[in-house]
Amino acid sequence: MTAGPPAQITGLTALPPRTVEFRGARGGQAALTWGQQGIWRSTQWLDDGDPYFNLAWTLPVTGAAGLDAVLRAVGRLVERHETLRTAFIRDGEAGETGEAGEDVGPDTVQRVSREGRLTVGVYEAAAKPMSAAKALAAELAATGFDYAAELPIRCAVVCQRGRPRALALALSHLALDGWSLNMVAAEWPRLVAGEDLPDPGRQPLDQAASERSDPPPGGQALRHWQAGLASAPRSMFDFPAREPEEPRFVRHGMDSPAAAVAAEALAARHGVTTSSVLTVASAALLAAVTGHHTVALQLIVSNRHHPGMETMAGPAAQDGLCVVELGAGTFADALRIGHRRTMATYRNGHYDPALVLAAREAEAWDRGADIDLDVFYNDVRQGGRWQGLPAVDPGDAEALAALRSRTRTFFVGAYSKVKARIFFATGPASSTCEFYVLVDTAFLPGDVAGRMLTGLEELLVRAVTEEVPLDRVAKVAGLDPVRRPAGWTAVGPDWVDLKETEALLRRVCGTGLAAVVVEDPEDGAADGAAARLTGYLVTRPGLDTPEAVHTAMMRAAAGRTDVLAPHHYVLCTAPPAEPGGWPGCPRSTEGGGRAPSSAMTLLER
Amino acid sequence: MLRERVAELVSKASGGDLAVADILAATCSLPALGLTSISYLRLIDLLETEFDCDVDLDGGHLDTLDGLVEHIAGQRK
Repeated sequence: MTAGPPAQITGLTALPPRTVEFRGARGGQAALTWGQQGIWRSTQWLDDGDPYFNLAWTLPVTGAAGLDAVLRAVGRLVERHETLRTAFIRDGEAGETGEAGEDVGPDTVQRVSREGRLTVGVYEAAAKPMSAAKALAAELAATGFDYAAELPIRCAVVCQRGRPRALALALSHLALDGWSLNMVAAEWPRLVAGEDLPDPGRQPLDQAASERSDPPPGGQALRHWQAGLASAPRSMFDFPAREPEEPRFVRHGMDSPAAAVAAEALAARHGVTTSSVLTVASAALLAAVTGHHTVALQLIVSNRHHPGMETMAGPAAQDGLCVVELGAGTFADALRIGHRRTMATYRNGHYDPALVLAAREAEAWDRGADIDLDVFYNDVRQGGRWQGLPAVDPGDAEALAALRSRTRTFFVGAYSKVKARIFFATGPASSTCEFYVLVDTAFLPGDVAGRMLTGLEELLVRAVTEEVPLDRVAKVAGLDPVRRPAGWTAVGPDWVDLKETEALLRRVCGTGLAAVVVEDPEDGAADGAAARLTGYLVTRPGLDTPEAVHTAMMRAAAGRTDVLAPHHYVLCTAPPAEPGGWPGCPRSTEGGGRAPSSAMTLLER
Repeated sequence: MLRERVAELVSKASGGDLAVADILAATCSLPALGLTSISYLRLIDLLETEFDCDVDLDGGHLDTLDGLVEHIAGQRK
């Protein structure tokens, strides 16, 4: 990458760019780390050149360092962190393709260049160099990276009266995550001062080797996923879809010191973290809207508590599965249970994505529907806490009410493509609760994002002074539960549109000769056993075993959140005379059709 | 002794932010004392390694010093 065209930013004058030559301790090539695979998969889901995963960033230059010292510091930064000289390339033939047609990456490798050159733009600012650097960083980040051919870092030095005052950066998220950015920020002034820093230790190449050790890490995390998948609803969005707005995904934000003060008070009272309070509050709001008692969320897990990963620059975060059973108690009860679930999730976030994908496919095959986990929560606060919150006694209702007058909600943006149906996030602000909600308007109206924000604040503030029963959360938060028309029924943790399920089975049969009925648990079944769906159909060549029918149903139901493949198939030789006569029809064969799938075979290896 | 050793590990997991004496004297939960999520996860790893035990975070009562001590003592029987 060159420094790009002269910046069209008011008050910036482009000076001749400089070249930084770097030579690190080693180069090399390895498979992607599990953390890299997560970001890589997300980037592949977007269109080529989409800058969504670029990070615009600015570092100040303090003291009397000259341009040469700053450029040396840039070079040493790239030399010490291999992730900043790593390309992502296809090794050999094209890789396998995943469920959405994306390259899932087994043949994509990380390649570290030992040496190279980085062109650094140099600019003179007329005034406010940090502000100018921020605008410049945004401009540098506005173009997607060529992950195979380009260094994952672009930068420019902003000077004032010839003296460097700031470094504007655009970074690929494939190179750094939030934790790594904080590490680099801490190193930067020392590098500019010319200090010798200790070797950072583990690099992504080492991490890749560690993840392929024998036995590999992640066994416990895989078991956590398998248990969570078995109890999670197959989708939180199993209700009628709606005409999406344009653009489809809408994000709103909130700045609420009152929500932060209330969350701190609740955390202290119940012996939990504020991160758990916000996670459980998000889960409770989603449950209230979607009519679920069990909520499945994916938490973004930094994975930095693992030995050695604390000092590695590079993406280490992975999605962790958090299933919270909210039950019939109060929000306070849910906080205590939910805190343990969130901690277990954060502990079990380091795993082989291929094995978790296989576990997910195995559960889908067994359950009879894709497992949709597109509900996310991310807490990007440094150390997972606030500092410097207003000194307000949360027990003083008047003071808390007064603090709420400072709450601000705002529209953030609308996007045409996001891999989430709802995304809750706590922003980095340290003296207020900066919170965001993104919704997929194909399922929920866009204004629900804003109403969830004010609802979150209301729920937290209310819970400080009174017990809030979970079945009153929707009312307290001012949210409208979704309405499922007649014909929808609960089967275990899942809601199913029976009419659509039957219509799908008929389409799969191609003859229209099929029916789906709900059958109660058999006598002697375990307490709490769910009702099951039985599909009746007339057998025909090619569709003459339960396995063949289940395979066809799963294919036809892919991506849908309203239907569920029957748990049991009865293949009859002839249709009944009356629509309700299926159970009495002569049968050729019957069964669940759940012969071990290829995903199960992978897991058993 | 076990209680003191677990308190030392809590302090170590916190990166020295929490003093052993304060941990031993606390009557509140570890998060309320200021142990962050990431330090808590580090602590669980340290405990499992040192005492060769399994700490199931869904087990409950593991957010206080005494709850952890009791859990470890129970696993060592």
